[in-house]
Amino acid sequence: MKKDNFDKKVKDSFIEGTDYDPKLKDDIWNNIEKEIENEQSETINVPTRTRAKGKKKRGYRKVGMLASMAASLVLALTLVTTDTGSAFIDQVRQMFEPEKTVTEQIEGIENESDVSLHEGQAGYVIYFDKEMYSMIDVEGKDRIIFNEELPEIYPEVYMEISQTEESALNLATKMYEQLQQQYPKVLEVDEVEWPIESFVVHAVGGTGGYEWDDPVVRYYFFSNEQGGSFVVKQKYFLEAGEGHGARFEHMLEQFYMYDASEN
Amino acid sequence: MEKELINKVKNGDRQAFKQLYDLHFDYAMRVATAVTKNQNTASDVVQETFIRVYKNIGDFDCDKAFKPWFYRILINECNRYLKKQAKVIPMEIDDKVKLEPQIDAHHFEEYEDLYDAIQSLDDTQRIPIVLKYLNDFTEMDIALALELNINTVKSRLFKGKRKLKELLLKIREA
Repeated sequence: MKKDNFDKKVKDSFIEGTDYDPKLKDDIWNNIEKEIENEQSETINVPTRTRAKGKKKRGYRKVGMLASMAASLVLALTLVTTDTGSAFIDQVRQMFEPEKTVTEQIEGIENESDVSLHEGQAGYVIYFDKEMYSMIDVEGKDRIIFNEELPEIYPEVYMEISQTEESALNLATKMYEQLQQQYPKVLEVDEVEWPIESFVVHAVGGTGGYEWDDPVVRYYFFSNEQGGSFVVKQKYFLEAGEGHGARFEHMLEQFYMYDASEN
Repeated sequence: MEKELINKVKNGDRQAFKQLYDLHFDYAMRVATAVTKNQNTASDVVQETFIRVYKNIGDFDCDKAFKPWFYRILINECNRYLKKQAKVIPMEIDDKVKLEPQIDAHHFEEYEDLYDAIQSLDDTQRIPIVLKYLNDFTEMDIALALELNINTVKSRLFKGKRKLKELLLKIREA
């Protein structure tokens, strides 16, 4: 079969195979109109739900609060737990839904994603979409990697989580100084509430933000409530900022620590 | 012209939104049907997609192409419905859109066989093929819509087409 002929036949087979009742167009439009009108009338009655952006900000805070509440609750649980480590882990699992649907803002679009619970080796649990990402062990650190193998032209993409005994602010300051030696663009240490209350250091390699494949590295440092810190390293490239970068942020929003020393 | 339309939608012009709906409904419905293999699901997906477009149009950058943005929402919605359905125990009544297997060996229904062959491909190859052939998407458009790099798209299209030709050959030999 010649190329053009084959292409045309594929297209024609699609047109034939996806035929639908023309009435559907008006039916679906009517449903859309109803839905939009319902939402708008709700908006008038409840002004706080009008704008997605406002809702988003409150949502983040709420999740942040929930995260600390859940973390405290789990920590409290460890105090009364006399069972073995595995029983404790079971309790952690019971505290959290194994799977849930979360709303994420990816590339400017709100998406609902199905995420599942994953247990890290450094005393925490985290949610992510297992169809897109997996967690592996790299030299004792948990690394969340993209399931699809990218061609060599693409810089590395991953998020790595570990725990250290140093304080978060000290680590952030040291990392800032270290990154300045290696990256052309390094932002000063910042304190953020979202995706998790932490100190953050952000750096861009390559041309410093002018090329699509400039490597990006972002570190989050936050207390592990035991005098040390969690260190989260995100690595991706400039063009992937709104894709992988945003997904890593949402994963971190779904990060819950527990006291691993009680195991 | 589409840019102008989108700007009007951004300003809350419902008439302009209807025009945008009229422009994109047909292919949206066909792509959703081809991807989900189920017309009822496709109707829900298309409805939800346009509602999402209306809600999120404020975030759309008018300097970028609308089609990849729109189809990214559509494909995400398809995946969401497919995932939901995967968790549901299937009922006995199957309302899948599939061409009835009335294939008479002597009257080869080429389009039906071709469509069935496409639908038997893995999703990783099938969805880029749906977008390319049904919607005349460029490889770059497909990469943007599916959040893949362009080399991955090229490779999936190539492998998909090769597999399709093999499948068709087998059908003919049978």
